[in-house]
Amino acid sequence: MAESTLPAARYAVPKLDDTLTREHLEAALRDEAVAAVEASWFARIAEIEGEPEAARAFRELAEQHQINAKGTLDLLLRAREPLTGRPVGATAANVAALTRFYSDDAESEAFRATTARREGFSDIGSWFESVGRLRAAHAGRLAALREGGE
Amino acid sequence: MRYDASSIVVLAGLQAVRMRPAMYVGSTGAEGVMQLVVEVLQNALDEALAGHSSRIEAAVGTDGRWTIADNGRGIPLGDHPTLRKPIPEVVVTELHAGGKFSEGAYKLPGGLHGVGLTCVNALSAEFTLEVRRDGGLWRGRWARGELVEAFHRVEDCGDTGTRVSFLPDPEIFGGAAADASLVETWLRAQAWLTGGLSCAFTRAGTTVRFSSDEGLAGFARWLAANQEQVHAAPITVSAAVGGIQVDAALLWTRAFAESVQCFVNHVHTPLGGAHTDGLRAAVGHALTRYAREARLLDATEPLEGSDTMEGLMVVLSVRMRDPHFEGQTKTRLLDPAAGQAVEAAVGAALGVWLRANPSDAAAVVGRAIEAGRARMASRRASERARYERVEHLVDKEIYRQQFGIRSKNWHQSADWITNSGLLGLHGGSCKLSEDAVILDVCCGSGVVGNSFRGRVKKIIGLDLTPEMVALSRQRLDEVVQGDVYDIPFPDNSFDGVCNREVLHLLPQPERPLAEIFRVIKPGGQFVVGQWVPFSAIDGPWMFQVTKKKQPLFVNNLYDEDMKRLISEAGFVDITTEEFLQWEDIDNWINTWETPQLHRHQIRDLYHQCPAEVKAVHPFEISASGAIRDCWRWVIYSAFKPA
Repeated sequence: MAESTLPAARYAVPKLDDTLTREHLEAALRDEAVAAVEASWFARIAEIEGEPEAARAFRELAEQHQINAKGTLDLLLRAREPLTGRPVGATAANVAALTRFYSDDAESEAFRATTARREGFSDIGSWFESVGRLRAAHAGRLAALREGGE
Repeated sequence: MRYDASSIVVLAGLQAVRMRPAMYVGSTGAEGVMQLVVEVLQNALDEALAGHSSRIEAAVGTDGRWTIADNGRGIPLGDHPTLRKPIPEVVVTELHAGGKFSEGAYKLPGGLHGVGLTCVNALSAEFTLEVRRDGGLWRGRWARGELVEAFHRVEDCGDTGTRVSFLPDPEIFGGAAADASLVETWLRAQAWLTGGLSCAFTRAGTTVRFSSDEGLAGFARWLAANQEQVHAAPITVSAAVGGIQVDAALLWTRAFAESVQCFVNHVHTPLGGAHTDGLRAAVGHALTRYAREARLLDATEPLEGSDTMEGLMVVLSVRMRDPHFEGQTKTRLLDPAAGQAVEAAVGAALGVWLRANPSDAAAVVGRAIEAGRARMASRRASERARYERVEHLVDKEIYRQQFGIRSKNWHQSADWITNSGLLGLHGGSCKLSEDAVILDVCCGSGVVGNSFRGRVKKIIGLDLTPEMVALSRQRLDEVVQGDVYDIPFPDNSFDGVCNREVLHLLPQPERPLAEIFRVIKPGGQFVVGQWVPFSAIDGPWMFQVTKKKQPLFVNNLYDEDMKRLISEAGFVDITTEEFLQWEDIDNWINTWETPQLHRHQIRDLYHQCPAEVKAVHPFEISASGAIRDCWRWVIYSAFKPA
């Protein structure tokens, strides 16, 4: 690889880990991601209800939120992957991070399912269980990818 | 308007179509063959749209050979000025050669701009072009794009027209064949969409003819066939707005689903787009405005756009210059101007009709209000299908209401209910003696219990809904109204119990299973059928599809869940049989408990299905947009220990 021709940084860049800024970035990412999904969902409802102007507005907002979510994630990844706290960058590390997320989250979904059923929400409990099974399958898929790459 | 040698412009020579057929016609399967047929049909239609023909005739032979003829002007006969070949030869051997590239010949071209006949010729084992024009019949033949018989005058004739006959090349398409029923549908639609056009289609020696003096109104009536109409005559719209011609026919029915057939320059756009957005907006606004003005709707009662479209059979035809579509297949129109034109034209016509026909208007608005109330009831059902305490496990009234309404057309409401193969596996699992007495739990119309007929002595039914109890009495020996959470029979009453597709609607399914176990005699058999996801991959997707369809859905039961539940209830010797069943999704979601919004969202789930899910869960979306889903049924047989 060619040596970088960029001038050396004049000032030391602070580490993002364990800062309030990182927490804010994580919160911002959640907000942008939720807003992107929500605006896209609302766009479709508006479309079905015969409100094309509202649909267009929602869809364009969703596009912006998606771009913003990626921008926020890009900054956040300077520190670590937000779902697992693992370092990421190259594909091998990214696969490892998401594998951990899928494995851990399968257990989280099981806990969420139990809570939902205890509180009387059978359908929501069933949803969490279904997602938990999918997470486990995805963990297996990425694990196979890692093994194949080794 | 000129249509002669000077109006044919050659943009490019023939490229290697045979080398890359999918690039030109989409695929080398059935869809590719269909594209060849559509190309020729579209050319014939263009002549009709330009006002020069009144007849299209199509035929398919048993060998897969298609013949399509029109009585238009016939392709011009002179030599091309630069290529020095007869124009018909140029049209079938040169890519991007055709009348549609020069201004004036056609006002509203709908084909694929010149690659059509050339592609058809290149991809056909045999291709014949006949032109009737200038007092003669002219013919040329090609094989796989190579000239076999030069274009020449065969005989004198007094009429005009073009006739194309081709055999899709097996070297390219293997044994793939175009779906003849789709061609029939297309011809039927064009006869309605195009004033003065008659169409005929021949297959297997039988010819069907389509022509209509009624135009789009006839099309709307055809869509509404077998449905109870809310008003007698379709509402028709015909207006030109900003250079865009909008024609439509609207007819409200008592069906739950809507049917929107929309066309741009006579091309079907199954995914809609700007023009259907305009239609929905116009219908929603016009009905809401009228309902408020006529005081048919309480100011506080919400009426959503989806409510106003429920049960509406509508045909919408837009004719415009240079439409823009999403993707090569022209399935979705993008031009906002078309939406504005449709909204203005349909809104104005509908407003006039509502005010001029107050009793029909009250019925149509009443239909929408009814849909809105059903939507609210569905939302309440979803919220109330939960338990807070064991003694208040479910709100039984919700179940009674829903299945009471559905009992009116229970057997027509889904294919799985009366599927003989599926029912046969239930009765076929029976290992009981001929003098056995069995209980069909949550029996519905009694078809599952009835599948044991001839294998056992007596079949008793149990159901919560009075209407279903009445229905099942036509099949079962005795039927009792009662609750599966508290089966009204003493312990060890039956030699066997059967049940199908109910446990996913019941919170805490362990409890009804415990009740079933209780009423079965030691050594007795339990047979239960349930659809389950194919794997962990399609589970969440199926959850969403099912929950949108059925608000009472609370358990996404996988195969392993069923086995665990049956085993934990105390049953042993569990065996299974699997059955794949294709369900017509459009019919399945056409029910009272599925609101209009949910029907759209269910279709979206199929259209936007992740590739990973498609790989494990088969389903089909036809060119007309109809969805068929393959359901994995498992029939479990288990025994109470002796």
